Amino acid sequence: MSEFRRLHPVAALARAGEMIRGNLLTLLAILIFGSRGEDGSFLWVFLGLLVSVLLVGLMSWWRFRFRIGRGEMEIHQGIWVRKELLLRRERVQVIDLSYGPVQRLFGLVRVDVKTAGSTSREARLSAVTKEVADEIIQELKTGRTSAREELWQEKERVRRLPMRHLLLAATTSSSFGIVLSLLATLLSQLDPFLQESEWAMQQFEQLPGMGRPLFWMGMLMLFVLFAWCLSFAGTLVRYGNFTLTKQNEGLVIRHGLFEKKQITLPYHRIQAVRVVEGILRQPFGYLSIELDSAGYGEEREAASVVMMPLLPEKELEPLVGEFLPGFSEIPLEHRSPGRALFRRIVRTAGGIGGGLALLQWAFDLTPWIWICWVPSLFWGWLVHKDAAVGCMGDRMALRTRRLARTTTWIHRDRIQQMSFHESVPQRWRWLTTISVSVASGDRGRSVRVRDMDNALIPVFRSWFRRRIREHRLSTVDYSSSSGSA
Amino acid sequence: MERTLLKAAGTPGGFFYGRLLPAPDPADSVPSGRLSPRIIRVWQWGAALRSSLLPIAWGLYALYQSPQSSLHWLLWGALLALLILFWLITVFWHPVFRWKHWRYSIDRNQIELHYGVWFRQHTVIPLNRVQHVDTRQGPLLRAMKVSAVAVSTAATVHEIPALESKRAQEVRQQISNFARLAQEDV
Repeated sequence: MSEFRRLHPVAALARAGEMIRGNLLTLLAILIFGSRGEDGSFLWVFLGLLVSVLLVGLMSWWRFRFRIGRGEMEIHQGIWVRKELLLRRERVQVIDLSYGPVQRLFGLVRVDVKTAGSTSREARLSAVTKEVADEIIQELKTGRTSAREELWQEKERVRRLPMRHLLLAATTSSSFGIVLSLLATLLSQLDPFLQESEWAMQQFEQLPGMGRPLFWMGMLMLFVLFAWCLSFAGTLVRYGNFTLTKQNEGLVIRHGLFEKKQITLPYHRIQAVRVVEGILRQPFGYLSIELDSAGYGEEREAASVVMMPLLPEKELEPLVGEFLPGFSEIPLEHRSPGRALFRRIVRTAGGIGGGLALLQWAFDLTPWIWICWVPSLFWGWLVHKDAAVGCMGDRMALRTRRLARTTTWIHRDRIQQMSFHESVPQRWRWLTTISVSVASGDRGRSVRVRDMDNALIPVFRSWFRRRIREHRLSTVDYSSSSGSA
Repeated sequence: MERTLLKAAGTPGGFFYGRLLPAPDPADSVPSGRLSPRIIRVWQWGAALRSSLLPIAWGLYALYQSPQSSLHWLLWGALLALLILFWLITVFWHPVFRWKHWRYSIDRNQIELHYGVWFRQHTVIPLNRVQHVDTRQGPLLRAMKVSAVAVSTAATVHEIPALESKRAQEVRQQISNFARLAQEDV
């Protein structure tokens, strides 16, 4: 590898600029509040701050060293905590070049090397000359070519979302809850304004039935109805004209009534398939399908893609067979054992019971609200009943329920890590929490199934290990025959 | 008997071993790599500092309180005793056991981490999922001449909290070399 190098000294300035931009609000506050004082002492404070920011920029420039070579880039950085970062060519997803105002002034360039992981933000060379940038690109350019051989031109398959299903999806949309909480926070923000304005209060008192519980119930109903209408319209606008198209190497999803959106998802980027059965949809036999894909950088939206907003249960198998080759329904053979039921119910009913007790104490409500507590027992039982894991061949299925029942299918090659987690009470009952992570967006998503039999640990570990061994063999085969992954 | 034998071989416990399930694969045993014992001191100092703040603040508050009945003092005393007990456990006992339960292994296929005193965790990371490896060293770790090694996949970051600096470099290079052999996207 070549010698360690530093960035262009302008990087110190760029870093200082970044820090100033990051703390702009604080600086403004200091300026505004400081200038109220009569003497000019605050100016000195301000100047001192500026100088120290520059100094920190200079120090971070001094500590930031990098070298490239042998398909790797090594970065050492950090003023107080030293960090060493090693990036390999095989993992680099994209190399971004950008030109900020400071960089443009000196004819420099900012290089962001992005991997699929979360630390990709740290591999940023804030100012280097164009020659160095070229060198980095040459060294880290991925050998992967996007143009694949198109062996056969497959006929495009298209699937649309029928109007009936769109309406149903909008009616039972899960965004209802989100809209409701958003509206509630908005209203609580508005409250002080309403309290202050005399006019609004007068208008309020004019209303008949003010102060009766029935009136407040009605207001609450209206509020909920309003939220529901919003979520209904939102879903209609969002998923109108929904089409799912299968092309040679992936899926193309188009949707949107006014703002049209198109997502192209190559098959090799799909990390996991999620079948979500909403609490309102499941009783009627409807579900939706979502996909996780590995994105990078700002492409967060691509992390979770809705493949089908609504689908009758019996159409799941044919749709998956047609549009998602390599996936099919996987039997969920391992269920949460009976000895976990008590634990589960204690957790759900206990949580809700605590909340109710707090509400009752705080607002002095009638004991009748404890009726709400009864369904939590049922909910606990549902959560327990639905927790299941299964594997078939090289695919795995995990099913969990929070409110909606979610079944995740993951290919063995897509699992980033598998872990087993046991708390003390879990160990008493020989239970374990299985968790599996896949890449999703620039962070990743973990699926955890609680309270499974801990005798499953060796089963799943050896299943997972087998993949690793097999996979190594297959990668060796790959590189010797075709040379492209 | 069978169970004790399995236990001795270092397998995770459980009622079903050797009963409903076949005896576990020897590769399922607990990994052998241990952290540098010097991390115990680091954790102890950290815990001592962190868990001292609350009692000190509280003690100062108690001092400035006006004197009250003896029952009041008894309560304060009991609480203080509890706090001291908690302090002793977190400072002296917990770091040692944390070290005792921390195991790792790295081979050409995977990284395995076993750790946790109260919450046990076993993690398996296939090497061909590793995105990059970095070593980290804060001031306390530097004073003890140990480094932490962080392994990032596309979804998660896992940290081996303390290896002797030389060993950390070795491990980093080792993972990097093994992982280079496996070429595949995300």
